[in-house]
Parts: sequence; C-alpha cells; structure tokens
Amino acid sequence: MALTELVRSRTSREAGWFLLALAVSIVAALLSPAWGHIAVLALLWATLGTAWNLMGGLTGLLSLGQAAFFGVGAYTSALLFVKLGITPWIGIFAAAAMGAVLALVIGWPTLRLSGPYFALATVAAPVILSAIAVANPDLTRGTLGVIIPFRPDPGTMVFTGQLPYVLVAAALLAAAMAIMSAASRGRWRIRLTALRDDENAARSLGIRTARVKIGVTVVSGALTGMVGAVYAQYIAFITPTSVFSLDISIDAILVAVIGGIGGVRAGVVGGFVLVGLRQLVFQQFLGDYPGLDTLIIGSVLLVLVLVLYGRNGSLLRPLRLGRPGRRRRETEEAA
Amino acid sequence: MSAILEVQGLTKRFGGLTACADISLAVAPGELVAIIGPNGAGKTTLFSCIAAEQHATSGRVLFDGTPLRRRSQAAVARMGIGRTYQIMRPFLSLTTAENVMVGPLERGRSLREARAVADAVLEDVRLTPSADLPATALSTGQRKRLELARVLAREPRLLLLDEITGGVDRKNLPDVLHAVRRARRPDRGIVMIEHNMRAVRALADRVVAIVDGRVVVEGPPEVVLEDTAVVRAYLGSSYRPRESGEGDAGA
Amino acid sequence: MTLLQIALSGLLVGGVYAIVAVGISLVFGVMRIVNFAHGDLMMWGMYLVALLFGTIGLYPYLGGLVAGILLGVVGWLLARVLLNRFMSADHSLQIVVTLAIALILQALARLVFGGDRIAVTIEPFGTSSIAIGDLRLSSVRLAAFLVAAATAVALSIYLKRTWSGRALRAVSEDPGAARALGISPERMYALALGLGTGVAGIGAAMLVTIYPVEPEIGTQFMLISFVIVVLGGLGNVVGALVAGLVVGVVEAVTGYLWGQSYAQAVVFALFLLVLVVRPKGLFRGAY
Repeated sequence: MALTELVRSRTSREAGWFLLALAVSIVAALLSPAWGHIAVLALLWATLGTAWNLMGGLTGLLSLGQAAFFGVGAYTSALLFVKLGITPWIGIFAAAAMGAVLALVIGWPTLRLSGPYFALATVAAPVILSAIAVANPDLTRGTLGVIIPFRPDPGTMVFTGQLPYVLVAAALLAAAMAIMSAASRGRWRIRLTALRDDENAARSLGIRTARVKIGVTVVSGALTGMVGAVYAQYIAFITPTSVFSLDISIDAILVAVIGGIGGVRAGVVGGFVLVGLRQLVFQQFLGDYPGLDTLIIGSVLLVLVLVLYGRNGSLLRPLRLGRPGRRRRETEEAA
Repeated sequence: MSAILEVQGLTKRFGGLTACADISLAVAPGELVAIIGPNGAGKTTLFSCIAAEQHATSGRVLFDGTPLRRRSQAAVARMGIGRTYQIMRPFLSLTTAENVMVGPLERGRSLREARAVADAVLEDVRLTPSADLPATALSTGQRKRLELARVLAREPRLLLLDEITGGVDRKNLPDVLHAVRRARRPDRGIVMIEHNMRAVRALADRVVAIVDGRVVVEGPPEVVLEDTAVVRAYLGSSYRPRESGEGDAGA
Repeated sequence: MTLLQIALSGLLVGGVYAIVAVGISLVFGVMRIVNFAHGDLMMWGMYLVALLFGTIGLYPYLGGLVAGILLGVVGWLLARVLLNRFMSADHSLQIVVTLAIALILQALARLVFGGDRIAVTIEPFGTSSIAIGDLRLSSVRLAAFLVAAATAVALSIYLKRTWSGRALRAVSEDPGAARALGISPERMYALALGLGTGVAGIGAAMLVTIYPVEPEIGTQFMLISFVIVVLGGLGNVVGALVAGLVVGVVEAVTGYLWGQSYAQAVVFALFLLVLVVRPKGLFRGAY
C-alpha cells in the first residue's frame, strides 16, 4: 500500500525522471566519450530548459534571451579561473551571482512590458553583451575567446573523463528540478498561476507582481549562469558568438516545448530528446548534411505545436491532466 | 467610531473633461452605500480615485482617517481596500476554491487556513458545489460571485463593488444579493456602484446619486430613488415608479 | 571619409533596412504577430536573386520583382495555411510557430547552399561612386536606396488609396469593427503577410547588391528589423521607414567612430531604451 502511494506521489515521479536521466548519463559516460559527451550536454541543456520553464511555463514570461545569462555565467567563471586562478568550484557560484545581477538589471525595466514587447526586449540583451565582450578584448580576449587550459585537477574542475562532468551537470539539474518542483506546488503554484493567467486581477488581490516576476527571473538567470559556467569548463573554449548566440536562447525554449512545458520533467525529457537527436544526426551524417538536425528539430517543433496545443491554447499554459479530486487533496495538504 | 472612508471635495479632471466635480461623501463602518447615476457620470473614476489608483486633481480621500496618496493596485489591496472591476476574469487555470485562496495566501495564511477561509466565503456566495471545479466551468452569474468571493477572502475593511450585478440575470440575482448581504460586517464599509434598482433598494443603507460628476442628492433609498432630479436625469421622464419597487434602470 | 559621408552612406543602407522592417511592422499591425521567420524568408529571397543574377544574368533590380512576387505568394500561403489557425491563440504560440518556420528555412538553406557566401557585383556599378560636391556616394547603394524609396512610396499609396489598403488599416485598428463592415480578417491577414514578405523580397534583392548572402544572415537582418520596428512603433509603416533611416545612420556613424562591434551594441541599447521608455515607438499612431 505504502509503495503504490510512493510511486503515485508526485515528488517521487519527478525524482524518478531525474534518477532515470542520471542513470542513463552514467551508463553513457562509461560506454564511450561520444556517448558521454551527449550525456553531459543533455544534462546541461535539461537545466537550461528547466530554468527557462520557471519563467515561461510557470510564470508566463516568454524569454528569448536566456543566452545572456548563459554567456555571462560562462565568461564569469572562465575569466575568474584563467585570469585570477579562482577555482570554478567557486566560479560557478560567482556565475550564479552574475546571472542574478543581470536578471535584476534587465528585468527591472523590461518586466513591465507586455507580451510581445517583453519577448523582443529579451532578444536584445545577448546581442548587447556579445558586442561588449567583443569590444573589450583586454577583459574578455574579444573574438579570440577564452581557452581553459587542459591541466586535469579535480580542484579546478578539469577532468579527463566525462563522468565527473556528468555528475556536476546532474547536481545542477537536481537543483533546478527541485526549485521547479517547489514552485509548481502549494502556494507558489497558485500565486504564479494567478499571475500568469491575469496579471491585473492578481495585482488587485495583493500579489506584488513586479517583485514576483523579478524574483523568478533572478532565479532563472542564476541557474542559467551556472549552466554556462559548467559548459565553459567542459568545452574549455568559449567565444562571444558561441555563448551569447540566439541559438542557445532558442534551444532553451525548444527543450521546454519538446518536454511538454510546465511540468518538472519537461527539461529532462526535452533536453535528452533535443541533444540526443542533434548529436545522433550529426554523428550519423558526420557533417555531410549540415543543418539537417535543425531541419528535423524545426519540423518536430512545428508538428508538436500544431498537434498538441490546438487552436486556442496557449503555449505557456500547460495541459491540465488529472482528476479534480487530486486537486482538492493538493490544496488541503498543508506542506 | 471614525468613518472608514471619507471623500472630501474630490475633483478629477483629465484633458479638459471634468469627470468628478467636488464630490464629498463618507462611509461609516458597517454601512453600505450605493452610488447611482447615468453612465459616464464619473462613478468609476470616483472609485479609481478612492482606491488610489488615480490621482485626484483636487480634494482628499481618507481611509480610516489616513489620507491616501497614489498607490499601485497591489498596495491598495494590501491596505485593506478591496475592489471588483467590471472587466475582470477569473484565473482560468485554477479551480474555484484556488481562485479564492489567492487573496488569503497573499496575506500570509497557510494553505490549510486559506482553504478554510475560501470554503467559508464560497458558502456565503453559494458556490460551494463548484469549489473544486476549474473556474472555466462557471457560468457568468457564478463568475460574478467568484469575483466577489475572491475579494472578500482578503477580508477588506473597505469593499468597492463596481456593478456587481452587471450581466447577472433575474434567476441568479438573489444569490448575488445574498452574497453581498453576507459580506456585511460591523467594521467593514461597502460602497457599490449600481444600475440595478432592485439591488439598491434591497441592500443600501444610503444612496448617493451622481449626475455629470456631481452629487445631486443623498439619502435613504426610498427618498433618492423617487427624487425628481434623479428620475429625470437617470431613468428618463417616462419612468413611473411601481409600488413594489420593481423598476430597473437602463436596459 | 568624412562623418557626413559615412552618415549619408548609412542613410542609403537604412533605406533598404527600412523596406525589410516595414514588412514586419505591417504584419504586426494587422495580425499582431511578430513574424520570426521574416528574416529567413528574406535570406531565401537574397539567395534567389543572387542565383538568378549568377545563372541567367538577371539584374537584381528585376530579380527583385521576381523575389518580391515569389516571397509575397509564400507569405500569403503561410498565412492561409498555417498562421490563420493561430490568430486567437496566445502570442507565445504564434512566436514559437514562426520560430519553427524560421528554423526550417534556415536549415534548408544550410543544406542546399552549405556555408557558401554568394556575393553579387553589378558590372556598370561595380565599386563606382557618384560624386556630389565633396561627397562620394556608392552607386550601388544609391540605386538600392532609390528602389527602396520607390517601393515605400508605392506601399504608402497602396495603403492610403486602395480599398484593400484601407481595409488593412481598418483591421489593424479594430478587427471586430472591420468584420462588422464585411471585411474578412482572415483574408486581410493573408494579404498583410503576403505584402509584408513581398516587400521584404524587394528589400532582399537590394541588400544582396550590398552584402553577400549566407544562411545566417537572415537572423542578423531580422534582429535589426526588430529594432527598427520597435523604434518606429509596431504597426506604424511610416515610422518603420523613418526609423530604418535613423538606424542606418546610427549604425554607420557609431561603427566609424567606435568600431563595428560597438555599433551593434549601440543600436540594440537604443532599442532597449526605446522599449523601456516609450514602447509604442518614437512616432505616434499607426500609419
């Protein structure tokens, strides 16, 4: 009896997805470097998508500029290490802080813009940051990029194999999923859903919508910054174009959409499907057909959107499954 | 006991138009005051000024003796002023009960407490059977009551109802009236903008008639609703009040 | 090269940017959708014109007509077949749909053209320039600007004088009222998208005489278009035209003074500034 309840409980299902991803990734890392590479990127992208989902799926803020946080995190960690010798183990937290600060700076003026205007504003941030990075080579090495020298040392997050990176990325994902989980239940679920459904009405009931939106953006920015930092450490070479690119911002959305938006598992599912698909196509055709992966992904996205979300649905409103009875139990279970 | 609400010489002008001209009124705790008047007479503007969402051009608004300055919607709600709007939508992704819980949760109540408050309020507005249904399942009349329930769950000291009977048909009207009656508290002031004279007669302690931005007459419902100036301006000179007070203004 | 010369050169390019941006503005005004596929559609237009020139020697000034008509039809079809379904959906859904189309278009271009950049050099013009007093204006840019200007004028006349043009404006102002007048919004959406992409096609033809084309270029021009459109006011056609000129000048001047990378940053910073301070754009009203 207890076991079935455990299996049914939402928390354990969410944990289950995470553990599945972790298991698959560990196995992949042990199999071969190629598989391990997919696993690391999949875990990182899963976190990227989950962080986007906090803003988009839960709160209704369509961000088209996650690359801004990603890039800032990557550069913060990489530069601290390469220039000041500060270990990335501290660097990723600095990256989180920078992501948070950036979120505050960008969010404060732009979050009061409505729908499409906010989306357009988010597009600008990575472009500006990239330009600043290119224009200040003394600080950032400009277009030459930053290289993390290969001197394996666990103390500086430089490893020879993939497995350690898998574990780091998985830890990050776990944090992201935990935050997402907490935000999608109880009082936060109700508060964010109200804000998302009708901001005006939410305000008239006392919800300080500006603060909530900024808060969610700050968390999302911090998480995304950390993803950027780990990515920089793993790939060991970053340039303004690679980390501030629109592609990364779009990937964040793709991961969430493919994974089903709004649910805690969306990031995991989407991340593994997107990265897996891409890497598999790339490795299969070995660059004979550049762009094929994007073609498949774009088509899948189109079909998904057409089929799943129907005519009047909103992308940012997750499909509500489950019986009303379950909802009552949720609201009655005080945490 | 001081007035919950005091409006002193409130004038609001925008762009050459005078929406409110030197309006004064007071609402004591426990009182229910109805504001009537033709469309465009400045009633909703008055509400916006009272709720501090807009600046008055001149005059003051005192809430519980404290003068109000311009505030955001959220700040106004947190101060204890609750307001319903003509165009407002329920949170469609939440259930009825969850909709009502939003307010108490923001006041710091726990999930369980908020649910208890919501249950009590839903009882008052007669929406208990729909508590765990998604808000999308509610009819217009029910949604109006849900709006009332949502704002009541915040336990406001001043309740501003903007045409709460708007769009409610005859069948559902008694439920709405019942809900408003149940909302009365000795420490709460209620002001309602109303077009439905049956509601006004049934609920109001006092009626204030506003025409062209000015208060033309003020007093008990029987007096104001028979007043010639009001009748002419508002109801049209062909209106004849019937014995049972069944007259409805406008449509 | 004096500052004035740089500015003038930027102005000429700005005229072409304006034409591209006008398409997005028009579509947003009528459909309230931000078409993320706009840039990549334009990129295909550029390839088309470049290929026509390379293979059969069709000058871009005529090739532009072909591109304009073709892209116009594609846009029209896109609306009728796909986007009209999403008209009552959330803006988020619409954005993702156009994003998906953009991805597909860009991927197809990469598959078909690889990483090849194709540049177009037009013989009588080549790199020659016309001298006006002390200033030298690149002939190619001047020609491009003139075509863009002619297109803009034609578009304005169309919107103001023809019945369908006014119907478009009606729908952009009040779709419900327009429907009550017997105007079918769905038809107008298709018309707006067709017109928007068609005009972008002409713009693409002009741009390819100035810049070489590669698959990534769509995104770049789309971003610039967003900036222009927001500056001019989403939905404001005249605003987009003027804003295009402004952006062209700002980009050229800041590029000259502080380098290319800063030019980008400044343009986008301006964009953010306008969004925050005056999201409706620098110019009042639509059209």
